[in-house]
Amino acid sequence: MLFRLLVTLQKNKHHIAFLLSVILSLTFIYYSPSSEYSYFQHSINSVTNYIKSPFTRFSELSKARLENEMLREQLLLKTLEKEALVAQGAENIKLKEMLEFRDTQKLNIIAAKIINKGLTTSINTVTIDIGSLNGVKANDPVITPNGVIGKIYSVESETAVVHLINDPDFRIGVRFLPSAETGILRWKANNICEVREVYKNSEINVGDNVITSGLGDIFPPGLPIGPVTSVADTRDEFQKIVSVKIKENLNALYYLFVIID
Amino acid sequence: MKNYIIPLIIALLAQLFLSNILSIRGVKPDFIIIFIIYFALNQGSFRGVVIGFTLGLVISIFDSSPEIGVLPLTYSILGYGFGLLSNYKQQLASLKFNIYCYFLLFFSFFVYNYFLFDSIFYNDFSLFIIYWLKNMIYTITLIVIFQLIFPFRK
Repeated sequence: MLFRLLVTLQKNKHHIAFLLSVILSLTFIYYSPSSEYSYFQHSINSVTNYIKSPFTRFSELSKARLENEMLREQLLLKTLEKEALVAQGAENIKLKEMLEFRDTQKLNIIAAKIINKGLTTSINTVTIDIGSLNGVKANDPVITPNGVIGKIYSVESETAVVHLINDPDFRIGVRFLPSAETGILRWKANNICEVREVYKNSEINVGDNVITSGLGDIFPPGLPIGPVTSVADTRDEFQKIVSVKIKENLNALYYLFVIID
Repeated sequence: MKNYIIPLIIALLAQLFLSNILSIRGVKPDFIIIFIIYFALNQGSFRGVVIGFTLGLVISIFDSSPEIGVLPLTYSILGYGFGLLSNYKQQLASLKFNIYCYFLLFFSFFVYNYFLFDSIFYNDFSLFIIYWLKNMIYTITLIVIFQLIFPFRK
């Protein structure tokens, strides 16, 4: 009888082992581990964690590298966003100034945006987004709140080309204040213009204001040009040469005004 | 039996040290399952159950698993099932044999996920299915690759 039982057990040992393992596993699952077991598991974990540490560090390093790359991308995006905000802020200030300038002007002026630069290679020009449909004509004066910067060179229906003051062929008749002496202004370099044809005995000093004289047909009298920065009076010259600073940065122009009437 | 010592050590080391590194979105591969399958297919269901239960217990202790009985139960089912299948290795057609093998794998993963996420099983069954498939797919892919190199049935 016992022998037969042993034979049966031996025959079905895999079933019995499976049954036992299932019962044991379910016991482990449904009966929470004791505090002694937790302590035992904690001790084993500290040993395994110590052995695992090089692998964990390697994994953390690779994660840190990925995170670093991601953060760099984010930083670049944020920097670009910040730059865009700074540019918008600067543009906002400029537009505010222009709005105030337009409100204080008695002249009939129209605002324009620069849409292209240096389209013509032979002269210094910019293209603006208004044209004959807006009432713009050739030779209309072009100004900014800082003073005269050019005149209209050619006009299309919706665009116009502005001949800038920094072109070597550009000339304006100017007057010095308070002496009221006149001369002809031309571009020299680095935002400095020269006024020639000024009488030698005229009373001109550094810091005097220069405005348009109105003696030509193009520019009305009284438009600001800039302050006098130096006066050259040499013996071998029959006239004085006066340097005038143009306040407007011509390389950073966004918007300008055209005097249309 | 001696032939299985080195593969067992490799599987244990891979499970303890490599599985975390190879995890994809929190899903880790299970190298022990692969070992148990090949072991049970060659050594039978008794040894399969014993090694499955023991390895499940060891991994649970070393891997600080709060549900200590889940892995022994899963590995025992695998050891027992693949051990029984080993008796029919030659009788069953290749396709049928493989279908039984993968059915057994699906079932063991179902048991594993049921005990780990039982509350999800009763509250959100579709989410449970997602968890089940997510946990299963990585290891099953590895088993398929392994099977191309070392087929279940030579």
